[in-house]
Amino acid sequence: MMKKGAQEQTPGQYKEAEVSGKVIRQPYAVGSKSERMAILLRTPDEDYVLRRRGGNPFHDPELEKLVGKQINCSGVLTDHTLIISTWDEAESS
Amino acid sequence: MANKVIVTNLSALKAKYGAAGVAAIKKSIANLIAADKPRGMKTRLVALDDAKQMKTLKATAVKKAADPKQNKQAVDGIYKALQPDYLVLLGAVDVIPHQDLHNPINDGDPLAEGDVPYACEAPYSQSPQDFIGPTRVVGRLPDLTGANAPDYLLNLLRTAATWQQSAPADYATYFGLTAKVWEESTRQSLNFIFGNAKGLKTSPKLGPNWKAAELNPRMHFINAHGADGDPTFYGQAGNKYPHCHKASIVSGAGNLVEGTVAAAECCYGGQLYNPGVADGEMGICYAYLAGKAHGFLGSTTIAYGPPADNGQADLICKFFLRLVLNGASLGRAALEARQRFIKESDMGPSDLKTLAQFNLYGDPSITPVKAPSSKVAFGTNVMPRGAAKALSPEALRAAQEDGEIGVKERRLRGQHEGRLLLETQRVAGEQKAAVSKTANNVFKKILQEYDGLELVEKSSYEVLPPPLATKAPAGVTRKAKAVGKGKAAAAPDTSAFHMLVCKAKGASKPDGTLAKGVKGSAKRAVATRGTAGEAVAATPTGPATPLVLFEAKEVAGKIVSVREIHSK
Repeated sequence: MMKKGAQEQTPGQYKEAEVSGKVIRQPYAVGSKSERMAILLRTPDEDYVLRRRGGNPFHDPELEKLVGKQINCSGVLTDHTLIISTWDEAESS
Repeated sequence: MANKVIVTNLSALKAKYGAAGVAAIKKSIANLIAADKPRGMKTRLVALDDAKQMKTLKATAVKKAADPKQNKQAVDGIYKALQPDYLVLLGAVDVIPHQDLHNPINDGDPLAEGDVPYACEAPYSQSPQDFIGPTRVVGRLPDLTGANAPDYLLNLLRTAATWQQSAPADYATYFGLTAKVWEESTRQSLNFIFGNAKGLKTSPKLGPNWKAAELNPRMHFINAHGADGDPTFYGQAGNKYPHCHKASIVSGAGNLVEGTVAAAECCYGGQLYNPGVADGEMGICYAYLAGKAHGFLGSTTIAYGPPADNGQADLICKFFLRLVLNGASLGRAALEARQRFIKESDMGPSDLKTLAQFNLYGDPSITPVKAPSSKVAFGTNVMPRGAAKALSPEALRAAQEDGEIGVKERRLRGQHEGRLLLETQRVAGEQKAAVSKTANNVFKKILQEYDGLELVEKSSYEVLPPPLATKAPAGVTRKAKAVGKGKAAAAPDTSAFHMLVCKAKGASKPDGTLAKGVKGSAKRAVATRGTAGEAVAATPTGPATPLVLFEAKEVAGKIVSVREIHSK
């Protein structure tokens, strides 16, 4: 779940975030305007499109390794993407 | 009266840079205004948030900088009062926001943000359908989003104050870069702009560590992938997405020549993201402007184009660069590129998004290329060759755009063109719930025929009449009926657009050629992610798998065409 939001979202701003969830790979938000194939972080509240800071947004083997795992991560949240800079694998629930 | 207006939000700038920062910016703007004078331009600064100044213009001041509606209304008020030939939006999205247009495609972008509504007379709206009649010459000189020092903006203002026009020969060569999967499309674009595609660089394998000699040509055309908040563009062959262009390379000493003009088709290629999301590294569009590029045309969000011919992003980018090469100001090139794009497109959902998302960054009055002309500039008029030798201060400006009268004439034509589009151009409307049976059958065949794709979503869109459509005079109708007994005159109208959104599931060739499908039948393959030869069985799926769209046009109950379009 989202633990910390640094500032109110205004144009061009972003939130620093600490998030826990399960990394999944599947179409995003089926049937909605947001549907796409993506690696996501599924939290109790929301799914986030996931990217690793400095990672290739189209193919990132490091993120692939996390698919199916529960992680705690921190990074920044843009309008579109959760860009993570650190993460730890957590016990699967 | 001013013919060039710079608008900004001083409160927003002060919140970012403090009083001293705003004072430095104002001084730089004053230098730009002074530099514009001998170019024949009367330039004026208007603060959107200055209630007193706005009141004198009978315009409504912006109270909340982040509010798109307030900003649109303020700009419209200024336009009505001053009718400028050029409008400069000074600041990034946290000073003057992009307009918050709805995204007509289900691709994950919450909005299709952009500046095109500022270039239109239509009042504030979130419907991109309302902005298919641009008439104004608009460009944005952005500061860095989220910055707390004004140095970046001061540098851009210096470039705008000191720019020099160059001979066409200086813009004859180019840096052309393409993802391998779109090579054919990019060749067509380069041939249209430059008459050749000899300089095309393809990724993979080329890039991103370009040498200065490769980046030094002043015209840049880029057809590659991009991503949200990312200072890198990517090539593609199958499931390989190598880096092909980087902000850090663009920023390298001596790599860009002052006066470069770039158009990038890439997703998010014109996103003014806060560098904080990328370890402080600014986006590529920002890097170009920092390197004293005169202009950059790019997209705020996911952009589209076909793999083997030209459409969507290809069109608007190539029209823009061709117009610049022919001697248009950057702002006029952007306006006329938009107008031509609207005129030559179906204005289906992907076209609407293209129009909404592409923006010009740079001073719109800069005219980089001195077009060959048999006319001689004299005063504010244009005289036949040999009629005058002495050039007045205005003549420099005249030489750039045929003088003040020439500019006014072009603006008038631009207004007529924009209004004509509003009277004649049909456009995709809101998404409908159900896809017609005819379209469903076509989509079923596509999914059977194309290897390596699976369905994400199907959707349909009604087609709206032109926003300012007027009924044909009664006499014309009667005559048409009389001549053709009801069969004559009217061209068939598009009645609906249908969209099939797909993603790759693997198992096909990387280059879009025919691949052997299952059971020995020949299936068409699409050059998308997850279709690489060497990774056929892997079905790789990255964080941001590109989408493949099929946009079908329905006329009188029949599907008359289907276009394959890729996200970039």
